[in-house]
Amino acid sequence: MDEHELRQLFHGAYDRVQPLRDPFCRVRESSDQRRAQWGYAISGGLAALLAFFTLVALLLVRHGSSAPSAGTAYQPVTGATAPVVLSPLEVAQVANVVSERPTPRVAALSDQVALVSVGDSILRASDAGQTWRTVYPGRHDHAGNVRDLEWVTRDVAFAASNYGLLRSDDGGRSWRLVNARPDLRRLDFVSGSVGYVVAGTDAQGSDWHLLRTDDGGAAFTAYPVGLLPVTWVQWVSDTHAWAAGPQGVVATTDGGEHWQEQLTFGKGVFSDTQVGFVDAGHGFAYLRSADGQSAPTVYQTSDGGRHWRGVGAPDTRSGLKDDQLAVTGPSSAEIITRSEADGVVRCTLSGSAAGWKCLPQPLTAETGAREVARGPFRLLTALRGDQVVIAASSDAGTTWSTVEVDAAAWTRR
Amino acid sequence: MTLSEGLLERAKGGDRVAFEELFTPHATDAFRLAVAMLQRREDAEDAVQNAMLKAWRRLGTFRSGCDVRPWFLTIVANECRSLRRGRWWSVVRLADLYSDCASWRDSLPREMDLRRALAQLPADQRLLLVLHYYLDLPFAEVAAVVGGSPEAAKSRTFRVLRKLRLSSELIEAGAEVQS
Repeated sequence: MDEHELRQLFHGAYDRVQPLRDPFCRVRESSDQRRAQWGYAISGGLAALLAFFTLVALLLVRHGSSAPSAGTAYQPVTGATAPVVLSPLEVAQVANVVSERPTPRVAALSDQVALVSVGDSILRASDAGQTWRTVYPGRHDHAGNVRDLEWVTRDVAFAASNYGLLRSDDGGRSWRLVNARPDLRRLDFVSGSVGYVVAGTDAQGSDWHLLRTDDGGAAFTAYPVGLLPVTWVQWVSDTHAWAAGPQGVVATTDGGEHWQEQLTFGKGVFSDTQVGFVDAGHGFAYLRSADGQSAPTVYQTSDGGRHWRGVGAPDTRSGLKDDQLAVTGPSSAEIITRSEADGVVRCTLSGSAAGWKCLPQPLTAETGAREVARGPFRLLTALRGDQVVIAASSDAGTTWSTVEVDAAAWTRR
Repeated sequence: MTLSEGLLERAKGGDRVAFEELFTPHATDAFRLAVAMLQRREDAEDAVQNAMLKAWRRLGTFRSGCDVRPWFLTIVANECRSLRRGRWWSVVRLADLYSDCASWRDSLPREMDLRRALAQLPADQRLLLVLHYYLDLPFAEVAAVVGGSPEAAKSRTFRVLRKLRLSSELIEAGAEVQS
């Protein structure tokens, strides 16, 4: 392949992509918003004040004591979607939902647009996590809990809850139930129609397995990968994917035709394995111990998992609980954990030579915190009492701005 | 004052029409760069629209007299890197790249292998190839986007090209096509 041929290949590969539609639409939106803001400020000051007090009154009526705490940037429930209409079968299934401990989840489409769930309610922000609006108010009895949130495209997002799979087709602004399975745990949709889901009824994960859907989550079929239980799955291209569980890590390089063992662990040593890849070559595997006492282990690969090497594990004073792996670059990763002494702790690895560095974060929590990273943007969320605490950082976690949202009404415990 | 300098000054002063006029000629290159970096049309559109917004907001910091294109392509490349890092679960699918079925079914195996081989390169290496071999930027301009000297950009590009040639997928596919 010479240089001329490479040029031709590039043109052949990408020139047929449909042209860009409107590169300036966000510029226009931005300046229109600014102009509108000035217009409102000058001509509608009194009207805005009136609207504000009306809104506060409405909010108090709707939520009783669940009004946002003073000083928060949380916005009220205006525009929230109406409760989803269910078929009789779905109603019967949803009625039998077993209440589970609410866990916060977070997903980001960009460094501006993100979703946070707490209990079975979903919030959306479009300003880098500064103001949040309820886009899915949850069920009336709030026994549900969203276990995983995922953006697939700019328009499509999914949420796995303990009463089924929720789907949004308008960028997370409204949600509908597309499947009432109560056993969905983790999501890895590769498009709006094709997705892989970790499912299982045992909260501890002993029966978790993989399912695949080809119709956007309406129906699922078993998807064996030669590993059970499976607690994690990630596709990084149309050919390369990894699945992981307490017994090890398996991978495919041919679109799922064959799966091969990459790491094998002893029985009973680990309870959960998380994998995270930034591309088909670079990734991490994080193994958590079954008894909570043994040291966790982190492995790193730069050749798609053909070779893995241990890169130590974070050392926190009170041990790791409810921790989460977030891969932030080819050789950098973060583990978000919680210690009784320090609250939420964020451990970062920037190249294996540097080792793990752990720092307490400016939020305490009673559940495991969850983080999402997009370049230098970080969004961290945790539940503290009846408050969802959401911290946003635009400098990779050096400084944070924090928003608290009253979640008492959404978390039936 | 040249026409583009005049547009730049007006755009810096908040004239959106001047901004659009100044950046429209670069939108196509930006989109081609984003498509080759992200391999998904929708993401590429997202990256370019975000980059335009960032360019609009940061235009005040742009030094008059410099070339707008490398400055803007740097923003696009950073946006692609940021999108790609955040979306580490995303999947390269031909149907996501081409909107009509005929286009992706007609893709030659070699082109598909190029996309696969590119997907396996780290983003900074892929950027070098895309800038020089797809956008046809001279090494001086490649260096302005990725940083460093033109000589360094040139030698790094050739090293990555060598690596790409060695990619087993391309070699195997090449053998298949020839046979």
